Amino acid sequence: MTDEVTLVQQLKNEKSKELAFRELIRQYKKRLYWHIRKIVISHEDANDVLQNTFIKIFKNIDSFKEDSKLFSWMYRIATNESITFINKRAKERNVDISEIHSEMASNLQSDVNFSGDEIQIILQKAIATLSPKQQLVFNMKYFDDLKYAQISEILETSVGALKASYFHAIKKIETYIKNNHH
Amino acid sequence: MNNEIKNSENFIYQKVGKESGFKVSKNYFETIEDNFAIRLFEENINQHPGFETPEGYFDTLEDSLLRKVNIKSKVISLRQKLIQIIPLAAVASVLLFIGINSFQFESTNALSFENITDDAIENWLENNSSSIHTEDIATIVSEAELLDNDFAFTDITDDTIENYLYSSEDATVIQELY
Repeated sequence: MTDEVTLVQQLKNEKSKELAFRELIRQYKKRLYWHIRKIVISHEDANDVLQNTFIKIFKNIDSFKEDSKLFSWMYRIATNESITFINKRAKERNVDISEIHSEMASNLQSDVNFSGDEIQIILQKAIATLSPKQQLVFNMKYFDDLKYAQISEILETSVGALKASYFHAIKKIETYIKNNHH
Repeated sequence: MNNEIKNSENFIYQKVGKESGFKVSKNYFETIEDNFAIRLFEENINQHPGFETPEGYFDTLEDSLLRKVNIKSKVISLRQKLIQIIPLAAVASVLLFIGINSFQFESTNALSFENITDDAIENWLENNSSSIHTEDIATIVSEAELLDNDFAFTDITDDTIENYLYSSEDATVIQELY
């Protein structure tokens, strides 16, 4: 596996860019996909957003300043693309973003790309009750096992604020599960 | 706060585990690089298609399209005037021109136009439509006699009209449209 510094140099070089980009996709596709998927829920939407994300990375790699980790930078792009997607969907349907999340969580039972039990559906419905920021922090901390420092770099939010967000998220989810699962 | 977080996390973990429940089809991740290459290719094509348009093309497009739409409207109004139901009075004139001898008369009375009944005319038309040519009708029936309401339930398709216009060597029809 190519180390990050070398990979970035190859990505910024026109001659090696495409080959390097293939390597980049190979290394990061799964992590970015699952991050996106947890935000947009549907596989088809996640696939679209993932492609948009890689396109954006490809077009803007020259502006990557290398003062943060490449993965943090890409993760941030993926997050922004996902949020943009959800906001656009909410605007098209003229509903609040929380309604979109609730709707998506409710549709999981009939989703062929969801194999979770009843409790996992309840969890997704619980997550849908969180604010967009809390959802991001919860998913990145609980499912992706990212450290606060990494999440701070991605979301450009202080560690303290992230801890507070995570605390509230965890508490809400716990309460929701207790009230809805017997 | 850290302890509370830990306790809540443990509760959630006990109930849900670390599985989100989301899944993908078997080969999905194997196809991402190739799909991306296609997508990138398409993006580049869209950005730099290399196609040019003549100068002022978009500035004049609206006018030329509106001109074409106006032509179509005039063809349709001409169409309404050409619809085939011909009033019986005009048919009678045509038949007189073609020849009264074709009629079978019920009586032996002297041959006269007054003896031709409407039913006889209609019957003759039904049985001898191939003998009647549009040029004959056009010669006899003046435009003043062709009322729009007379042709209310006939249907000439646009294709028929267009084909007629294209095939006609007589330019006066086209000229009349302008």
